[in-house]
Amino acid sequence: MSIMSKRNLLDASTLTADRTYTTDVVIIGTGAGGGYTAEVLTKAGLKVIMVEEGAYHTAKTFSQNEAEATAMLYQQGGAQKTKDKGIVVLQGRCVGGGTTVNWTSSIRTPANTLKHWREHHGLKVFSDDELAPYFTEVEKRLNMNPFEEFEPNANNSILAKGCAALGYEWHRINRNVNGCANSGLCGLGCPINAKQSQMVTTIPWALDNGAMLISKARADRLIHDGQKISAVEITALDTSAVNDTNHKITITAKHFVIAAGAMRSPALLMKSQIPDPSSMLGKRTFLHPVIAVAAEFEHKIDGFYGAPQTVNSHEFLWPKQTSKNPNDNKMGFKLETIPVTPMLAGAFFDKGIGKSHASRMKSLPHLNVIDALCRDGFNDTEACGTVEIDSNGNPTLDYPITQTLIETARNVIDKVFEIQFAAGAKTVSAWHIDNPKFTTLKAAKSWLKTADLGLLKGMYGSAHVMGGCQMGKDEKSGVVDTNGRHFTIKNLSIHDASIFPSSTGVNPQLSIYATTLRNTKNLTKHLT
Amino acid sequence: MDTTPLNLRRRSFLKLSGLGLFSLVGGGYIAARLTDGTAKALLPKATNLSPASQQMLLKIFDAILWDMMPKEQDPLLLTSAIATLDKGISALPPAIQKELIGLLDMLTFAPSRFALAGRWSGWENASRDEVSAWLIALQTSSFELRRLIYITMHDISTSSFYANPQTWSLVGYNGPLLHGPGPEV
Repeated sequence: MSIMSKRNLLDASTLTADRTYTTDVVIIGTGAGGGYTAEVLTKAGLKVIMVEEGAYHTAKTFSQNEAEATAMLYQQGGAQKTKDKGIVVLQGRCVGGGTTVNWTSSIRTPANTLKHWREHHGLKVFSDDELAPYFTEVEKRLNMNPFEEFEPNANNSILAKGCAALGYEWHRINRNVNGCANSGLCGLGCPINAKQSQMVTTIPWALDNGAMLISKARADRLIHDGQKISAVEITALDTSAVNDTNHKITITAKHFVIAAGAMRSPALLMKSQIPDPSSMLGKRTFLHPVIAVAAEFEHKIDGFYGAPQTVNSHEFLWPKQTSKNPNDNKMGFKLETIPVTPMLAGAFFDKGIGKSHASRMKSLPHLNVIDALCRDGFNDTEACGTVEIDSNGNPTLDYPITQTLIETARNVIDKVFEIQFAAGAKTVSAWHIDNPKFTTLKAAKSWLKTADLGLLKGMYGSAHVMGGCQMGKDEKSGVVDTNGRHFTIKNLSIHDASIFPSSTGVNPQLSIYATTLRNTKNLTKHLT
Repeated sequence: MDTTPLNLRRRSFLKLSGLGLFSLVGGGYIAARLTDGTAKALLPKATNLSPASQQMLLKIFDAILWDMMPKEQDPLLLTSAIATLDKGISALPPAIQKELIGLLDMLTFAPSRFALAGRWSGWENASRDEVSAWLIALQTSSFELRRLIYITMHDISTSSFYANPQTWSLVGYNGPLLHGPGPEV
């Protein structure tokens, strides 16, 4: 008998009539926040129902084909972009959410980020030590350790070599894996369950201990009286998890945890007309804007194989903001690598046609790609993002390509050009619609000096959406308190990256896990 | 916290983009009824792409990917990519499906095709050089909307092409090291 047949699972696409359920806690979303919340609450003896918009895929149904996997596991089949189409935004949409498709980088929230939260947002509770026990507990639960089973692949080694040659800091990244085969396609779902995502850890534990999971089900509205939520209304999707069916699910509960990610959590509150005394709901969204640079090397790299991210550099993460001219205040950034798979290289990075496209793609095994995650939300000159509801009722994100972002990108590209040439690159290419390629550092820098990196010229991406339901010290300065509890609606909590008052500056999964664990333990005291 | 006012140029674009895309989508539905009904279908059972769109995409995919293809497989690999796109569209949210199909229909409908691509005659008569020149004009255009069309055409062609495992050897990729199905947990 399949392990799944013993669990309380509902694939909403199979419904032939409307359904109603009653439970102690309903959790909307099953990513880093939702999964962990389900385990902790179930452990405390509470009845839990998880609701997931995407499908329940496992190693049994994952595909190692990029196109098939992105359609199955990502928001909008991997085609999600910001409102003006200037930034590609990758988010998981499946059981396990982003944790099912991430590249396993497991990094604690930097002390400087917590300091910023204390000093600029009044969140004094986040001392350097506040999250430490939760980091430790999560690291143990999800096997977040130094990755010593394999050496970094050549793609990552180039980042290390270039940094070392220039005297820049670099170090290895902890990963949440157990029995990793170093095959490299973490972004398509791990076919051997080595990645310790929520899909293989907390969610199965919660299910095996009485929790229920409803997949292919989109939460549309929270029913409330301005003080308390009584129910959540859900639309059942069809087998493809794309189209609505006519069937509705209504769940009444004592408490509601929203963990639908930093676009869809604020959007659900907005659509439900949840009171917003701070006027901060859906505001200040952060993306860790990604700037990428490719380089071709004489030797083979095979950047499609091997763990995708094992080396990173924090050399430029915390630059001093010295200038009074706002455009000089660029964002800090961390450097890491992107796996060089055919679709990521051919459709995501390359923007050429004919010979230009083929020349890059035929050198795929020799390509290295280094990217920067830009630390947004720390600088007064940034616009950040705003979640809006479009005419179809879907969330969209307005995140302008500001001068601050453009000058940050110029700075990133300049540094990465230097690193790649220092590591022995033959050519370097910025991620840009003109598909530029240079054989000397001088030529590359000369282009960069005047290159138009504005909207739909420079290319930008994101894999980390944060903010929009930010924590505040009171109801005038935030949507939720420092425990993730909504200031006005007493039986509503937000457990995902949307509560962060800035980006984290590093890959955020461990920050989400630790704050979720802390907030769920505190919530449990009120519910049991 | 202060936020920088957005520059006027971008706001103008948003209006243009909103209006432009709205026109493309709205116009696309009208266009779908008026496009050349004589175009021959490449795919026997297409779900989303009209025969006229299929024929146009064959020309566009060819202009983008011709140098990637081993000669003997040319038509098959491109047709396969168009089939992948047709299937992939069904996995997109309805609003994005509508936007993309609307754009493709506009590019095949003579008046809007002329406005966006400068072509009165149909795509079936276009040479590779002509399509390439049009794509490069979009790529280097000072109008964001035209660059957006370029990026869309580029990305749908390449993502559909490299979805086919038969193309992987062309780029030196030997395929995944692990194959499913794995165990359920």
